[in-house]
Amino acid sequence: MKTFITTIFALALTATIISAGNIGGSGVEIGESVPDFTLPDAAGEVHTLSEYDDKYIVLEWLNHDCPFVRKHYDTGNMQKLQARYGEKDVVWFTIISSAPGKQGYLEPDEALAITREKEAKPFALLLDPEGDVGRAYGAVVTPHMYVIKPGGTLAYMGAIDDNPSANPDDVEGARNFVSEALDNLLDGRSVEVTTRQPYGCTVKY
Amino acid sequence: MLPRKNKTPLKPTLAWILLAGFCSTGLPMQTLVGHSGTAIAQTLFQANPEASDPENRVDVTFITEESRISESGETLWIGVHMEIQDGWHVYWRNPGDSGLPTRINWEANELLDPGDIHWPYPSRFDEDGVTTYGYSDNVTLLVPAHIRESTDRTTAQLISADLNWLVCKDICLPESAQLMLETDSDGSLLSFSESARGKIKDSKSRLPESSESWSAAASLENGTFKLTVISRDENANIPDPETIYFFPYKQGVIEHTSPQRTTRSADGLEIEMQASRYLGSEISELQGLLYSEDGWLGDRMLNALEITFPVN
Repeated sequence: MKTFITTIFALALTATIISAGNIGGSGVEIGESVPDFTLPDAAGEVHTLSEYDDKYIVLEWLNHDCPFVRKHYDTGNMQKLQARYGEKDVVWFTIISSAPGKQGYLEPDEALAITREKEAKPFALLLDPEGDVGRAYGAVVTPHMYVIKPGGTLAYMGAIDDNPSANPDDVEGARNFVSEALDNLLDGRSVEVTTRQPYGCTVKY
Repeated sequence: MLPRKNKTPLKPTLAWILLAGFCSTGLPMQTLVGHSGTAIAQTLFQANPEASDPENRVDVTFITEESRISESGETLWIGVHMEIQDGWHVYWRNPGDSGLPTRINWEANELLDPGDIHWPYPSRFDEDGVTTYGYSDNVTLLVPAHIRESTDRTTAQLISADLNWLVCKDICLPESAQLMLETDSDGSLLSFSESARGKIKDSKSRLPESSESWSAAASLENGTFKLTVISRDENANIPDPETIYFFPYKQGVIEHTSPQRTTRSADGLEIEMQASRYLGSEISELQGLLYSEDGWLGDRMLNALEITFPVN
């Protein structure tokens, strides 16, 4: 009996370390090159990150059923950012890494429909049902945000703003690190805040 | 060798926490619940985003350990008792990689002046490469309320509060409740019962405490924190290294998923852990609680040692 229980503990411990390695051990670093990837968007067009090498790029991890994501979409905050920086030639990729059957997963036609319904304005909504891209970037939560400079180096990663809450009333007055980083970069300055612990729902790999 | 208390043959602490994490939120659970559980919960949430009480996954009540309000100048401990549905959990002051701590907004009150939440030590949940800290089954959060000078202590409704919390399984739902601390006509607190007294006593025993018997220091090199705790007197009980886990009070300081390696030193312990990718450039101290099933003191059981590590 004791051996059996000890074995279960050992298995639990092993599984934990392995699963931790999948995300916690990987990821990207500020100032370093980001991993390239190729993913289809909801309309079926295929995008390769390095094809946008001459542009500023935003990656936004999405799960429309997550209360923290709803906070930023129900208030129109995320759509506003997508539109504002889209006009400034920033390539904004929204990425869904939810696995089929898990919360937030969408078939391509559902993804198109909900993007229209929410009046979201990303450059493209990318589908990553295998979760490979999410894991490569160490995306842990939704929304988890990344800002990439021309040439493919990482300029910001982490939380969208400084108010970790699910309350839509907290959008106003929060310090938005994504718009701040983009404004810094577009003004030719260096990014003041390069990382902030992200908050949200776990990505449903 | 200092005396060790409650030494159990299975060295269960960390393993229990890990196993608890797996049963509550981990992979086996997801496999069992899978699709249908997700679908049902999602439907409820979408139909009614501000779920009314009967639909909440957490039932919250105020409890007190005393039957009456005592004298002015003293403290009334208000327990926020949360009964959590199977498989779901709520969060500690540092929720870890995701989640949110429970929040309480007290209405301004003439008799009682509630302080910050005192958080009993949490459990650790590991799921899909994400580590969070919180509570499953049930927990009693504790709020010390200073009793003010007040002419009116006969009021039936003493104080009210809005509570907000996030409850998660494979998905997360924000829930809320409005609670009232009330008395009956002869001034007895309705929140009191013998079982309430027991729950508060139990929760108090789980609160972290600092101790004169231990000193601490830390260094940060190449993205790794090395924490050192040193026993300062005979009352310090050096626990088995395998029973130890450091819960940081703030997010973004350590990599929550990374394994913590604890080794015995001559007069204490050394614990190594990976610094967070989100750690800013300067950090002068690292604060949190060191949990051990064995306990940290010789003369009484203290599982959660509150420590501030100055960082060199």
